[in-house]
Amino acid sequence: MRRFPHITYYLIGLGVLLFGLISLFNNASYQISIITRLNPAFSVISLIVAIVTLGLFTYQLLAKKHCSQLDKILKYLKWVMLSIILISLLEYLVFPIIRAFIEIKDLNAIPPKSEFLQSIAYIITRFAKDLLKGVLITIELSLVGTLAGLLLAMLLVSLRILKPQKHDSEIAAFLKTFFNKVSALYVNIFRGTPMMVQAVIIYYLVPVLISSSWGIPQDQIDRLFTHLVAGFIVVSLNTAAYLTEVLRGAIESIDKGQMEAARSLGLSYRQAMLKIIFPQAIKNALPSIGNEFIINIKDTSVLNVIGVAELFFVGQDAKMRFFRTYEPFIIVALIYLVLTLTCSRLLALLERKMNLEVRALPSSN
Amino acid sequence: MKHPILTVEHLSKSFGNEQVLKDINLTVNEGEVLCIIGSSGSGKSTLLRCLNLLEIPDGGNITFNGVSLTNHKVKLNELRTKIGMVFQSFNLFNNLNVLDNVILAQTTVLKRTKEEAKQIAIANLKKVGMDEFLQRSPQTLSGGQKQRVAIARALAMNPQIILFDEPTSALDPEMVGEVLQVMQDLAKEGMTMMVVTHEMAFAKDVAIRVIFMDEGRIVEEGRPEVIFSSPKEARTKEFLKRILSV
Repeated sequence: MRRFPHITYYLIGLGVLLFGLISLFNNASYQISIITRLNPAFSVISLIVAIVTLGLFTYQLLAKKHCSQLDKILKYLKWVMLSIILISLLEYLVFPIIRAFIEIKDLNAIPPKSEFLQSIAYIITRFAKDLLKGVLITIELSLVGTLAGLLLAMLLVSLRILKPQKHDSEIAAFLKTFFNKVSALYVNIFRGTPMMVQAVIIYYLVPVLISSSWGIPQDQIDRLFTHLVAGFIVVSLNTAAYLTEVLRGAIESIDKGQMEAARSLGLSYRQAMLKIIFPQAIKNALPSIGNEFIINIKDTSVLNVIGVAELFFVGQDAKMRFFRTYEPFIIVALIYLVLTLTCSRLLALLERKMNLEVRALPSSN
Repeated sequence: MKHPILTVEHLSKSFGNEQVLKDINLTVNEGEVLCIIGSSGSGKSTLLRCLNLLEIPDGGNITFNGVSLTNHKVKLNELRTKIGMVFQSFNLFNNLNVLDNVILAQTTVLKRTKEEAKQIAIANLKKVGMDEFLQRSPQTLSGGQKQRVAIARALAMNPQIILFDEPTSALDPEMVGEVLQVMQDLAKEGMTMMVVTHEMAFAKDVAIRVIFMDEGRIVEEGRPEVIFSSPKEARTKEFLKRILSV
């Protein structure tokens, strides 16, 4: 495939053009930087630079002959444009945010709705503790839920892969089929219904069932079966269903020769599974397990229906407290974004490290 | 002197409607090197895989050391330790390093202590010339090296017979030699071996008896010099002409 280094320049040029336009037509009131006072001049300069750059690139693209001098000029122009972008970013994003945080320091009430950034800054500072608690609970729920789900999935998948063999006795064949179907049913039920619905059913139904069947008073159960405990159970059960199928795929993708080699050495089916197949399958499934963790960070938000105080719940709390609708949720969305992006980067790093160990030396065969 | 270690009687096996093995009768004596030759699809590998019940035969009887393998009450896992197997695609355990590949079955099946198993593993890896690669993962080895580790893994169980299922077919040509050398050394030591192979030179030099199979039947068997120089059956002649002219 041919590489297009120009594309980057085009995009940068367009970005600058956009910023230039914004600053031309925007009578911004931000007065924190010197550049602001030169606003019209800055805009005009950036517009000119962008147009010149774009023009030169178009010329170079269409020109049949390669001109190395033009290349040099464009290289410098690239840096000029990058600095313009940086300045614009500072001017329109970083400085206003800093200013908002400085200005709301002494406020006792939330700023008016027109002051969007200030409102956000105000909510963040006043609600920092709650937001942090929400983040921790979200992470805790998804981490513990994924791990517990993984353990449960390992159990379920060992039932899911049971298949009656030719030489099995009647009873063994029946039991294998039975357990296989039971785990398949479990997977279907939990994958086929929304986690929100599962949460509501489990949270409200389980205590009632326990209290009626064992005669334990309701309030005693409620003390143990809290919002959070119910949340953990829901996430774990749900994750288990998804990971069961992930693990099943991973196990089935392991070369049949591994099992045959193990059996030929005298290992039983169980020993071969535990010592050879499972470890390899779980290693292969690690990316999907990590994926499930990231999905859980987002999906635990539905647990607000049963009152688990995770991040989304905190957002709703903020909504009630400050009488603002979208500001709290923009904050919450940004936190979720940071969480998921950070986690996926970390997991990618981990995967690369684990693969490197294996591929330290290339195999010739 | 001639003590039969493995006896096969009227063995048959089908996959679906296709009958792969038809009435196979065979005896392997202790210390014998038996090579099975034949074109692909003739049932050689299936026969070998039936002998340690990786494939369950449909009919017939396999007797190993006087014990019938097809009897349901037989302790199959225990018996399998005495029947080693080396595969075409090596099948080293990818989650274990070279040393642990050789140790695992010793400790889990034979219940040897970790230390004892390690000593035996190292001794056997030395025998196949792989004792300098103990901590390496299988993925980093060449095909020939993998196969030698696989042989050491089989040897560590002190088997009474080793089944080789086309051990050099998946190897680059320059690596075939090192594996065949190890096998030849084993034959010299008196190991009982059954080898499905396309290496006619190996069959000629090392085998005590050669079996030619075609369409699920044993067509001809005999001493290698007889089979290779003056085969009786037309199908054997045709096969040898085809394979030796290549």
